[in-house]
Amino acid sequence: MIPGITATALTFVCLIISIVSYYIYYRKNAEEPLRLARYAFYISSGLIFFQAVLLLWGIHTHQFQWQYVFSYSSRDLSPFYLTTTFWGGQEGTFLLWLVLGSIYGLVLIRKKFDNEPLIMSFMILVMAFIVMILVKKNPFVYVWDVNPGRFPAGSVPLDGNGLNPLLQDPWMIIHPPVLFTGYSATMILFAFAMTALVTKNHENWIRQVFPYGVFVVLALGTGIILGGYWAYTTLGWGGYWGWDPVENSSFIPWLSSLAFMHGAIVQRRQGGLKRTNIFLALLTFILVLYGSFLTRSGVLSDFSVHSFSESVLTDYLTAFVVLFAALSLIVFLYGTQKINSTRVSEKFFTRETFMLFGILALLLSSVFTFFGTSAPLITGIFSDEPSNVSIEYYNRLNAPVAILIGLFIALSPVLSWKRENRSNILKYRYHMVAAVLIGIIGFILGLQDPIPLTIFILFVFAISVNGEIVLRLLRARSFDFGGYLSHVGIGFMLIGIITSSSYETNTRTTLPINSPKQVMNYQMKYLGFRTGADGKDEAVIQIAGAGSNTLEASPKFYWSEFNQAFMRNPSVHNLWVKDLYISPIQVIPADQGTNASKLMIKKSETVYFENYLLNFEGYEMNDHSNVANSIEVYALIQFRQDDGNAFMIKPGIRVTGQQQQLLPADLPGTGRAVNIQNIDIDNGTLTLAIDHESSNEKQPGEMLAVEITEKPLINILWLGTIVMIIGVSVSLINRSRFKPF
Amino acid sequence: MKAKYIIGGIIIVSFIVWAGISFNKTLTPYVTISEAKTSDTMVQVKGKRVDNGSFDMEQNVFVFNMVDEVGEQIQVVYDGAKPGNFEQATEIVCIGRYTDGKFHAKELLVKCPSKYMEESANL
Repeated sequence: MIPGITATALTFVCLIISIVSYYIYYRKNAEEPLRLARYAFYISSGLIFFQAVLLLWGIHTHQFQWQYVFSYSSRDLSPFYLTTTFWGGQEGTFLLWLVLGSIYGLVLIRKKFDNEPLIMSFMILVMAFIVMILVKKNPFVYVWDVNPGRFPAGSVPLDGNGLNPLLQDPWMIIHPPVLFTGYSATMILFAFAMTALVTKNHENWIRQVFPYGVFVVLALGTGIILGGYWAYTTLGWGGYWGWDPVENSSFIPWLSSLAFMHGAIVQRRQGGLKRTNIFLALLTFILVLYGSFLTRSGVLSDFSVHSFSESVLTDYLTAFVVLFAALSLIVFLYGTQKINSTRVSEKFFTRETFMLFGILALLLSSVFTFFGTSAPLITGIFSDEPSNVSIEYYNRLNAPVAILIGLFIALSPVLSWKRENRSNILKYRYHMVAAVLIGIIGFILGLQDPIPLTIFILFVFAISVNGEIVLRLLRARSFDFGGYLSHVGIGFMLIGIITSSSYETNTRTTLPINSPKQVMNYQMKYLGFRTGADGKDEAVIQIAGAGSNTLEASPKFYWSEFNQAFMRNPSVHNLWVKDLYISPIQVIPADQGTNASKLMIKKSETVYFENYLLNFEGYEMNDHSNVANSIEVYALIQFRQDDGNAFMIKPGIRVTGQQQQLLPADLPGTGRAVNIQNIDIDNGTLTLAIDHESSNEKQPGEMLAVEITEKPLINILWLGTIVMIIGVSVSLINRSRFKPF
Repeated sequence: MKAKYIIGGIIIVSFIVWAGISFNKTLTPYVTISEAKTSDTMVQVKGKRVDNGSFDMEQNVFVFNMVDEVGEQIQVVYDGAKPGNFEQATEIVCIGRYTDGKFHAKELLVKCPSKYMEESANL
């Protein structure tokens, strides 16, 4: 019996006991079953925490007999990255989902809601499904059970496969847990919305669920932003956002959770949108499930650079999504039949009308991003060869959405609830004039395309309006400024996105080693490779012309055993008004062909070369090189001059993974380099490349091809993300502590 | 009819129309190499690499040759870095457009035998 797997199975049993007891309590309203239901949930939470701790312990103590530990970690990982292994694979992320789910469950039980049996039953239903996934794909299963051909039973592998180096990044310790905190919190929205439908009480739930709605917005939003930092600084796509399915699958539910949060505010103030809000809460949860189906099942493996590969879980995940979508839809149609609907005010210039438009814009963006991401599935229905949309689709769609949202977040706060008060808008005419003036300055500075310019002006307007309200509320010592502050943050983000992506300039060039080259407005000098502090190879480039100091860029370019591929990480330099972003493309080795003589020589053979007599004595190996995991091979060659003077030189080659580095030797007294051109083991021959006698012509040495991008004002985007996160956090604290909704 | 519904309606309808146009326009169909050679829009082709490719230092592009199942060959010019696992690739997907006798790829997806597949092959 394996403790981990047993715990997984017991978790499932306890969840079932809990849900059945909640049902009995719901029917009979007796104390006994309620206590049993709660205790069963406590035990299942304890079991889930036990599995999480066990897995962490297993990873840190290298229990390579477990499939998960073997697949995603290795002995050379630091404790820091061993921890990230927890969410390096699918099983771990599902376990993380469960850990968070049980924390939410415990919080909900503590709150003692009247509808606890229903709310908890829906929470448990979702959790039980995830436990079933873990039963199917368990992290504690032994390697020899998965792969008996490779591992005889009972033999513990000495080392694991290791963690994908892309995940060995400081951002990865925080990005996935935060994102999963948001994903699993959508369970709460689902549970509350379903409860509202079953009890046909469509009003009270919105007050109870609101803080959790804000929490989902905060966690998903923060997770997405952290993912953006990671993509920007590590993945080296050249940007923070690439409309990749993996990114979209968190962006789509974030938009719908935003729509839900705003809808809840309208319902509280106005009484309207009862049906819509229930729908949005369910939709957000279903979109999270759909997203995890898209990225884990392998359906998009033909279309994404980094979706998870084909998985045994495809059918299971499909069933998961379809079942919950169908259940939600049926209960929704049934539960909203006799809804006592209240109309949102008919007047046009009211805050609720503009918020409705905002909700509409968010939903349109969410729905059509969804269609774009699902394009391969949709087109797959109509033809045998599914197709995808290009990134252009998302940019075309979201430009009008940005304009609408800019307009609505600028105007909504100006208007009053219920009463139509057009003259309020006029009070802010100076803000509009100021925004247009700033827009004109932007135009003069180069912001001349109509759509980016429109978005820029609207968001400057939105920032000034919302910013003024924030200041006013702060002066009045009110804590209600969170929402307005987050709109200021969104404004800065959009402006930063416009300036840094629409107006980035980039160039590709090759930098010759050790000789400065003028690129854009910088003088760049490539100094060769070195091994970085983290053991990965990096190129060193000296950059002058960026401010007063000389910068040193060190983009990484290294061989990864795990990925069986060369990996590239950009070097990013923040110059206040812009970022300088340097991505390595390719190392072009020194060309010995044109300026060097080639000489083929066999072992123990003696040949003449110019005025030398060469004798190839053999090879010398050095596997204790100071560069990790590499082997150095040196050829021992005796050079004898006419005058009888003899010396030994040792040109070498260093092999790291699939990467080869030449270690030239000097021909004494001449400054000419001797390199190994080729080693042919089958024929026992060695080919040397000996530089020609120094001419005035410069030797074409090693070169580094790089892509250099300038991203103007990207700091405004980073500032915006921080302001937005603070804003949402403030309203979360305000709504859950000081001023319950 | 109230202004609210008219404006809301206009936003929704014009957005759906715009999205439909964008969807059709940006859709890159999967085609064979011979179809790609006659097409003048963005397409997606799949094939095996013929060589290891080389980096063109004049133009700073990566160039390689690709062949599909029926043996049709095409030269691909990729405006970017050589994918890190190119040598291990079993299959390559290129998204781009065929012009001047070459396929100009905007995006390359390289598919490699993953560890999982290796393991399941052993089963």
